[in-house]
Amino acid sequence: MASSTSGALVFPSLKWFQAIQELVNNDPEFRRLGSIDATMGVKIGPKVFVVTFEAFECSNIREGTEFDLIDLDFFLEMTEEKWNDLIRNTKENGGADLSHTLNTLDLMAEDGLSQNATGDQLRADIFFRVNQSLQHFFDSSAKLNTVFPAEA
Amino acid sequence: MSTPETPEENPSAGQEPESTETESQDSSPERLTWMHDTLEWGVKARPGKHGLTMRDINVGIYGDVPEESRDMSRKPRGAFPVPGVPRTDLYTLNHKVELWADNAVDLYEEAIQRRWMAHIDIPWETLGGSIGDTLEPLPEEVELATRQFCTELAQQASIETDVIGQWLHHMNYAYHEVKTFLATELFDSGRHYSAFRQRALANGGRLGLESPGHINRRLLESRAGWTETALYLYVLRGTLTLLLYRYGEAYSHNPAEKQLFRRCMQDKARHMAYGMAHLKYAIDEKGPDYALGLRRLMGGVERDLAAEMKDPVLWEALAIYIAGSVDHMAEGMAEVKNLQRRYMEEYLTRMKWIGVDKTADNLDQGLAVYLGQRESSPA
Repeated sequence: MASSTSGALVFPSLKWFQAIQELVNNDPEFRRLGSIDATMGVKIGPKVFVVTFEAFECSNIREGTEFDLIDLDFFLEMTEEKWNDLIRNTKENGGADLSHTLNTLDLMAEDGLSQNATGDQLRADIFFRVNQSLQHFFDSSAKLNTVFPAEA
Repeated sequence: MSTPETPEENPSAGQEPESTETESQDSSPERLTWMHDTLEWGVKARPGKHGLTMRDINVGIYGDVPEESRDMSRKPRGAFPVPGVPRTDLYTLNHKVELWADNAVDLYEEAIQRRWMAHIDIPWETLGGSIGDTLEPLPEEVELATRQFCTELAQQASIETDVIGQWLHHMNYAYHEVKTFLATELFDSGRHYSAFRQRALANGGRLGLESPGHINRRLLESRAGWTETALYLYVLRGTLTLLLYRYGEAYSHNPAEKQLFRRCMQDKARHMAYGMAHLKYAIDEKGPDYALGLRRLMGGVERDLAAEMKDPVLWEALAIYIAGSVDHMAEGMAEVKNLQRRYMEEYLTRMKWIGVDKTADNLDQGLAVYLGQRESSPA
């Protein structure tokens, strides 16, 4: 189930990511951050979402599988609980607070947050090259009415 | 103001006395023979989603990158050569293998399209204290540690400017993708230097101590070639700089520092992308003997790095910055040890990626000790 009867969006779901896609593609500030070319995986527990950025927009979002991860520039992986914590923190603060930014989570987590599935350092570094845009992407979720599966 | 194409377009034509100047501007077709002098006509480029980029206009002969160029006239690649033009430079980097990276053309666009301005994009008012008073200023010990940290980063940036600057004019203009990308890196490093000075001095502050300088000297005095210099600049120094920016972002105390470190982190990762791609290209082209030479070259530099890493000033400042107080400095120092371990791990990883067989076994022993450090991060 992707949305509740009140119009809230369930995290994680394709509709939730598509709502962020729509937000950033209509956000002049996202464009002002500059072009971004990256294929990013988001692994939330067993679920995988594939997010494609092209030039100044998020051009595609789709559900994927673990087999997709090998072709991506990088993917972000945390447990479902940690993802939920990040999304809640983002909502409460109008954007991730100082200790929940993507780079912070990457440094603090035992196995990091972002990685390239094949160990390609050049592609893994894209996470850092476009980090401000990625942060803006996830920070935009503060504008959504997000609910979690147990609440939906 | 445009020049009239025909006499009919110029109402004053024929009313002025003839002069040498008007003769020289005669636009009759037989006097415009230079218009026919071109190496290739009919090139058309179409803008894509990124706009009209340097890659888009690399069409026909204008996109041909020579393996070697002996042109010393600064003629733009693909321009029509004119006999008798004197040499204007004596480039020493005239082979593609000495500087090329396939991604340079796209990294140039990325640098231009993701540019930022420290005075506008950093919310300096959130520093607290003397600028905006919107937040409480940091405790003095943390402020002093931050200033020391930023002094070190400003110095690293200024060294980068000088290192690239002294190599850029040696690079043949046939490889303009690389030259223009490195021009953006010069601009970036200038901005980093300025922005970290701004942070250090913003709250009625001061600059800290200069770096011991062993690696700075290695970088500035490297003469073996651009590729060798790139190994120092990107893999040895750049790996540390990127990590310092990442830790600066992760443990920042306010949105201003968060933005400052994150923006610099983006730039540095882009610089690394060029450096790594060039090194891999050069090693792939030149073969295993060259890779072995690079590995041996690093022996002396690693000894200098090991000596420099024993200097406590940066690490102590960073420990206070991370912990948020001198009282909790031990916790901060535990994370500094993690940073040092990560530095060596990533150095080895990047060396392996470019094709140099650098391992824990042949790493300088003064650096290998950091590989065993693993501490719990402060909550």
